Amino acid sequence: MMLSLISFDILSRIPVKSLCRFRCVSKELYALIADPWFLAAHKSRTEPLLIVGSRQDSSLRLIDMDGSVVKVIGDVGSVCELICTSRDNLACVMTHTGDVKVIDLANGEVLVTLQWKDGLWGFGHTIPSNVYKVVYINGDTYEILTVGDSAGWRKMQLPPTSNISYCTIPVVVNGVLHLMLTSQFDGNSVLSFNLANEEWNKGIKCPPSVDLQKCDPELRELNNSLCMVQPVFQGYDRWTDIWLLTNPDKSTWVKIYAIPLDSSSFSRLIPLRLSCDDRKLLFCDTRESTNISKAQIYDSSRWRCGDAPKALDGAHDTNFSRCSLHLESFVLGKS
Amino acid sequence: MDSTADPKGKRPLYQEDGLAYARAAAAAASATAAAAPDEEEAKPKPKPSSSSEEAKPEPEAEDQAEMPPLVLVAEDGVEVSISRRAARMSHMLRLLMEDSCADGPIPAPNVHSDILDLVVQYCEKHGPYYDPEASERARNPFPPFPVELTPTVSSIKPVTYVDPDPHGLKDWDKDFISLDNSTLFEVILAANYLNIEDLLDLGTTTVADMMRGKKPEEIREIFEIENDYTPEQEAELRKENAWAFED
Repeated sequence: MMLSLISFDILSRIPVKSLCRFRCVSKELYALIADPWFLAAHKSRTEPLLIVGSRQDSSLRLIDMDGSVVKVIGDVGSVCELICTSRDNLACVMTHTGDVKVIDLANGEVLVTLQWKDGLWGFGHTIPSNVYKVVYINGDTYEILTVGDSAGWRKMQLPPTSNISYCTIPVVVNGVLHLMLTSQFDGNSVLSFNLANEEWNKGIKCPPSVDLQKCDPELRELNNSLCMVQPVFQGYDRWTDIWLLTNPDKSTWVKIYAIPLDSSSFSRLIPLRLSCDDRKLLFCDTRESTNISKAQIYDSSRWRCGDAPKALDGAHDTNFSRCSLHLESFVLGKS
Repeated sequence: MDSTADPKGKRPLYQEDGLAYARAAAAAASATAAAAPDEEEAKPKPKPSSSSEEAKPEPEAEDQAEMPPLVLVAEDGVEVSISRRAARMSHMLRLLMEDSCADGPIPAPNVHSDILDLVVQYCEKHGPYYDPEASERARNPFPPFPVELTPTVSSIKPVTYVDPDPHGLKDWDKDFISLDNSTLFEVILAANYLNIEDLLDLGTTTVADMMRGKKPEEIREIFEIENDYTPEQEAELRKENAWAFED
C-alpha cells in the first residue's frame, strides 16, 4: 500500500483545485486533506495565483502559473480597480458603477458592499489572525472597517504626518498597510500602519537613489514583500527600477531589476511575481495611451521582455494582481 | 508521535529510528572490522580527525576528499561506496561522519542496491557544489530576497544577473528523475531514510507534479488505493467539489 508516500510532503505541493478532486479518492485521503496540520503546511507552501479582473466581462479569473484558468467568478461588475495581494483569499473590487465589494474567492460570495468615494482605499488582512480590514483615507478622514463586523466604519488613529501621496495606492504586506509620502517625514518616505493593533508603526526610508521631489514611485507587493517601482529618466533613456524591501526595520532595499521600457509611450508597470529560481519577473504593463494591459515576462539573463501565457492577455482596462485560494475554505466549509 | 504527521510537512516518516539504528550497527561493524582485513587496502587508513574540526563540516570538506569513501550496505547485501564529499548531502551520514562512526560499513536495510546506486549517483553529482545553507534558503517558498546581490550602476542593463544554474544541475536532475513510478517511490523512501533533503525535494516535487491535474481514478491506480466510498457517497462528494472537476 503506497499511501504512506502520499504524505504531507507530496500533497502539500499540490494546488488547491487538484486536492479538492483528490478528496474523492478515498476516505483516508479525505481525512488527510482536512487535517488542520496539513492545511497549515499547505498554506505555507502554496504558490499564489494571478487574479485578473476585467471591465468587459464583469468577472474575476484566477489563473495559475502555467497559464490555466483555475476558477472564474462571474457577475462581479465591471472591474475598475482590484486590491488583492499574494496571500489574500478575499479580494476588494471597485466597479465602474461605484461599488466597492469584498469578495470571497473560494465561493464568489460578496461579503461587504460599500459606496465608493474619492480618496485612498486600502485592503488587507491582519497577521496572524487573518481578519480582513478596509481602510479609507481622504484629507482629514481616516476610517477603518473590519470585514464581518457589523459596526461598520470606525475612526482610525491619525498618522504622524498628513503629507500623504494620493498618486499611489496603499499596499498591505504582512499585515501592515504602507503609504507613500509626498515628502520625507523624520527621514522616512513610507508610513506603516499595523492592521492588527491599528496603530502607526515607525516609518520606512526610501531607497537611496529615489528622490520624492523628482519622481512618483509606486508601492506594490511582490512575492510577499514591499516593492517600490520607480520610473527613471536619463536623457532619452527611460527605464523602471524595481526595489524590494528586504528589511523593514533597517529600511534595507535591494534593486532587483532595471527594466528597459519602450520610451515612445508612457507605461505603468506592475510587477506580479518574481520567479526565484530563474530570476524572471512576471509583470503587467499598461500603456496609458491605449489602456491595454499586457502581462509580460522579463528575463534578466536575456535582457528582454517576452510574452506571458496567452490566458493572461488583457484587453482594455484589465487589472492584474495576485491572490491565494486557501484550501481550508473548501474543506472546512462555511461556519 | 504520529509518524506521518510532521506539521512542517518536511519529512513524511519518522527519522530518529534510522539514525540510531545506523549508529549502533556502524559501531558494531567497526568493532568487528578492526579484526578483519580492510577490503580497500590501497587506500590509506583514515586519520582520526581532531575534535576542533568536527564541529565545522565546511572547512573539513577539503580533508574529506582525501579520506576513504563510506561504504553503504544495501538490503540485498551489496556494498555501495560513496565519497565523503557526496555523503555530506545526507544528514544522517554527515552526523555519522562527525561522530566518527562512519569508518565501517553502514547498513541501509530498506534500500535495494539499485536504488542505492541511484541515490549515490545523485549525491556524487551534487556533492561538490553542496552548500547546506544555500540549500535551506532555496527551500523556502517565499525566500527573503538574497541580500548579497549588489546592484550595479549602469542604466539599461539588468541590475541583477546571476546565472541560476551554472553547473547545469537542473537539466541533469530532470534527466535523473525521469524514472518509472516504482523506482521513483523507492528513491524517495531512500532519500527519506538517509535524510537527503535536496533529493527528497526533487522526488516529492516530481510526484506532486505528476499528480496534478489527474482524476481520482488515476490516482487510485497509481498508488494502488482502494475506493472505500459507496457510489452515492462519491457522487455526493463530486457534486460538493464540482468546481474542481471543471476545466
